[in-house]
Amino acid sequence: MRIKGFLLLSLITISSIGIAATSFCLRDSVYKDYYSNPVKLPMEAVAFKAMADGVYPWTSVFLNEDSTEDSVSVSTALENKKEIKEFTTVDDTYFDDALFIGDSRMVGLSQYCEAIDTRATFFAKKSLTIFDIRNKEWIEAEDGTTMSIAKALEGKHFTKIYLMVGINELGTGDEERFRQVYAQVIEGLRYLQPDATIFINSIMHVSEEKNTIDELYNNTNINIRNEAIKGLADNRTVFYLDINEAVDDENGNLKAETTGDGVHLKGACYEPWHQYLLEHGIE
Amino acid sequence: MTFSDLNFIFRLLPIFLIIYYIVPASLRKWALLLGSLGFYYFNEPRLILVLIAMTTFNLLFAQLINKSGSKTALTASVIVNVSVLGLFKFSKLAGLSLIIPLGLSYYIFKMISYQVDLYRGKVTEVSFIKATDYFLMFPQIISGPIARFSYVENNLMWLKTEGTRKERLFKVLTQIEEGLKLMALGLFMKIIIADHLAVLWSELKVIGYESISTPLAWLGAYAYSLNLYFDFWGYSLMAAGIGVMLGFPFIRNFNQPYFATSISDFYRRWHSTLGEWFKDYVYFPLGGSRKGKYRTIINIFVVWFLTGIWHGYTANFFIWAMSICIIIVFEKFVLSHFPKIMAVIGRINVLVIIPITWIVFAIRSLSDIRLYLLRMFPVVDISVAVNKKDIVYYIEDYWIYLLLGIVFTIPVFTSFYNKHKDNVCVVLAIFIMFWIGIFSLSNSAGNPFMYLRF
Repeated sequence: MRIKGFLLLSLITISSIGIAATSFCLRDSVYKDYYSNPVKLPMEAVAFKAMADGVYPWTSVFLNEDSTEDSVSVSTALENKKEIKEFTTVDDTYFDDALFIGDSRMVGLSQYCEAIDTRATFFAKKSLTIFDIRNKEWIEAEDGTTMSIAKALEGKHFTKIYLMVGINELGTGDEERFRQVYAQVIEGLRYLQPDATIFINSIMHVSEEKNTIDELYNNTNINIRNEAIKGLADNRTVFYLDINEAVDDENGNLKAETTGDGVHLKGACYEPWHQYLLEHGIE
Repeated sequence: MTFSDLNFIFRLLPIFLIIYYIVPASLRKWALLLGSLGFYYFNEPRLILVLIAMTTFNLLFAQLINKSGSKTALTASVIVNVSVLGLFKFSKLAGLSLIIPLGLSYYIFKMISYQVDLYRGKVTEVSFIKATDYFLMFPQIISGPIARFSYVENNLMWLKTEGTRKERLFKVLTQIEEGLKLMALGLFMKIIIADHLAVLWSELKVIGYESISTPLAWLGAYAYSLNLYFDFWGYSLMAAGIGVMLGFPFIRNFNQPYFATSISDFYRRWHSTLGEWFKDYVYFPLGGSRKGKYRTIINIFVVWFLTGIWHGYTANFFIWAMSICIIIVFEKFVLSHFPKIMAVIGRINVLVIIPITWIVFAIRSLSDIRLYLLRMFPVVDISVAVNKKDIVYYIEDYWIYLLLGIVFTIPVFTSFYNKHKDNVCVVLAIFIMFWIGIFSLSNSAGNPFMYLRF
């Protein structure tokens, strides 16, 4: 019986058993975050979900959690000495030394708001999460390599940093974990760009239709996360921008006519967000 | 649960194959029936009753047609089958909101085919198990291909084979291997090429058609054409591959359509089991092209009208079907008199007109179709906030899927596969493609729209 006659079958069977066994054996260590109900999801998928995040069987497992909470409170105490500031209307030159960091919604702003795009710097990427900003090398350099936010900010000077992430993380962790990591990112940005005013853009709502049918990506979940990060603003160097005021309908959903998929603004509909940013500058 | 579900690939299918091949050859058709019922019940627990009712009805009428050869019985069975299909498909028009049972069109088409072939003498006996296997078989129940009854009669693995146990095992393993190769290729086409290009297409809707540049509108048309092609071809290959694993012959549903010489030729190669069904059970019974020019035109119109409403009853499907109908009539009665011009225009039609017709097929709202076509052909400027560099972003993000789509569209790919499918390097390439597909599937949880991370 020549194996060549059923080589593919043999290879797939052996590799499949091997991958499933590895995933099962490492379910409490490397694959802890990826292991879910094995009745619903075959073990093979666990290894591949982890691989997508750069986690392999040989990846080291760190059990210690970073303790930035303390440093946040320390620097918050220092910032408290600064005066509370209020929003003022600015013009587009305000964005000349601004940095925008965010997910696909921020990518949309960079592609369809010429007034900002031609002036500001964008570090925006589809499916970006607050965890990615903190942990990953996700900013693409001109030569195609990727680098961390710390590396990307080396030698650069920004006086305003706008953040917009949060929708991709709705299914990850809880709002407390989200707030905690968001605080760590802000702290990191303060360290890297000490002169920058940081603007937290609220997570933009989804449309009424999306809100009704989607169990995860809905406005109830978004509001919970927004409430969590709202408190990070000290109105001295960190400000919270409730951009939903500019894009929502009267029921608190993203205006249906401004979105094609219920989540993103259409190319022609970024102006209200732009205007809101102009009306909420800090001098 | 579809074929591109991890639980199907790693659990259901292997378990079913083991049971299927453990039981004696004479019982495998029963194993297939039970497996198919289980598969359908798993996907459609309530509306399986419709499938069972229609199967029972058709078996009873099959007995009647077989015994009496009655045309009235055939007519009655066809009317009932078509009425049930129409009732579910068009219930919304009557203010009802009936859920269409999974695969209804496909199994009804098979049932009609069975009755007509029985009447015509192509099917000679009514066998309960063969007929139910034909109607219900799980590799074809969701979206075809629409096989003919002879497909069921040609299962090599239902025949008792001679030889030692080792020889029989080798035969089974090589049979599964043949099907597995097709299934792995189909999975790759569907998950890697089609599902990723589907994201490109939906992103255009996200931007709003009024805000896409003309080059991006064209890129979108080709991306959607490739998405549709690989989604269906990939699915058909998986279905055919599973059929081969079970001992059935390979059933071809796509035959290099984008290398067709005309639009008529394109639709002989595209979803050909559906095209042949319409030809054999609608076009030929109406007289085909044997009753003069005007009757031929009417017959083509009837076939395309039915094809259009089979896909949906919104206006866009009607426009799509009628535009193809007009081009086919034009090709058949005008261009065919000028072979040299036909050779050029025919191919241009396939490569340029077909992607445009897919836009009409894809977009249901007529006002959106208008917007999209005006971005493709900007004779009137309706653009708002267009980013002139948008095509660059999309090519940067999707070039690999577009390139793969083009490579797999070229006929050389198929002929190379047919020639070298047993070569170790080719098998290793398919093995890698299989796991790339699984990687992507694992990270999308089986739902292509999960790729739409924000």
